[in-house]
Amino acid sequence: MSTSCASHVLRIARQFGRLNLTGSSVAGQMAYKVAPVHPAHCKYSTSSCHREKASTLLNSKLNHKEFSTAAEPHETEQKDEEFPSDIAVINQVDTELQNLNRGRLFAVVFLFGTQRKVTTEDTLVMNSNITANVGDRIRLQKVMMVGGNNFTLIGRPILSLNMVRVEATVIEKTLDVVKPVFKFKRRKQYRNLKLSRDHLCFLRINSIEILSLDQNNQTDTDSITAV
Amino acid sequence: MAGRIPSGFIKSALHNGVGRYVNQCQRITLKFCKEHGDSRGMRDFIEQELLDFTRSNPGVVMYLQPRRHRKPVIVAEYLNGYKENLYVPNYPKDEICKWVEHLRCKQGMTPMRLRKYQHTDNPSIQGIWNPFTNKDPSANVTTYPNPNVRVSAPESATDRLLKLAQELREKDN
Repeated sequence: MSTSCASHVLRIARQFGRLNLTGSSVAGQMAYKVAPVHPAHCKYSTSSCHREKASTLLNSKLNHKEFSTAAEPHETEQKDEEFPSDIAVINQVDTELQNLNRGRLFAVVFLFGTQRKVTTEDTLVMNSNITANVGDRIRLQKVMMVGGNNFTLIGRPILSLNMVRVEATVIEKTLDVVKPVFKFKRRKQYRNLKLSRDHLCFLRINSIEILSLDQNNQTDTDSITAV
Repeated sequence: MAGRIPSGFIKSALHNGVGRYVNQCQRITLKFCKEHGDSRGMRDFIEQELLDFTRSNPGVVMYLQPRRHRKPVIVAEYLNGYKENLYVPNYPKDEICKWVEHLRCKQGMTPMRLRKYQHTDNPSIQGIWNPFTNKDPSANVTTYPNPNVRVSAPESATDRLLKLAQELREKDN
């Protein structure tokens, strides 16, 4: 496990069906192009290649890579006016957050088409492969909800990247047990047996942090991800 | 007829990844023949790819074990004592690369069908929901039926339909 890999944070959020591994849709954020190989055909030389590039990137500002497209602007845009009662609630949540004994936070993250309620130290299994190496720390971008004992922040549908940060470690990438897919039509001399193994990826949730309650707070996302 | 596939829940070795991550695959042994055609892909792998692999994964020890006229095998051993043998006769080099990588990324758990795709030690943060969550506690001490508490809608859907029908009938008349 190279140290350069552990020290940069990768970001993943959306289904891989809609992945943009090669394009530069996130202008200025795509640090380099990742070879669009199917994960099943990834061999170690590909990942070592990632690592070399990542290590060179550590010296630049763009020290993270995207495994998915970023959230669409309309998904984070919220133009509602703030009412005085809202401000009171926000202040209340703010004091709650500053309380050191506030306890554990939970989050609902959107992961490969599924919504998972997670808290720190949870283990998750994704029914898919990802290009991140085992041991890499990744950021789950699509956070739909965050809450503590006495408050809940609800995204519409997701919370801004500047508000919340959920991080996870890839602890295992493996294959599921062999599943038979058997098709049969009686009296038609048709039978077809196929065996398939799904990819599984185990994640450990490391941290759930609320960065700021002001969603319009334009924090530099690069500096956030450079852990 | 294959036996029943064992099933179970997610396991993770010693809370791996909570603090730091420890690669669970510790040792990979490549067993091959130096002359048989079965091992050709394995020999190519050893000649061309092995050094790259060891450089990029210093935590995994690689052993080579030539065995005359025996099938090529990849044996991976994990921290929890699990050992996996993968027979790779006549596999091309690329596929051997893929399977070595696969064995490296595993945690060494016995393969099984997963019954749940998530594990948590803290199932609830805000308390388990029940029908009285966020309800007015005065409901606990109220005597029912109570004219001040509306238990159901004052007018049922059937009533409304009958009323509409009655109105229509009156219009027709």
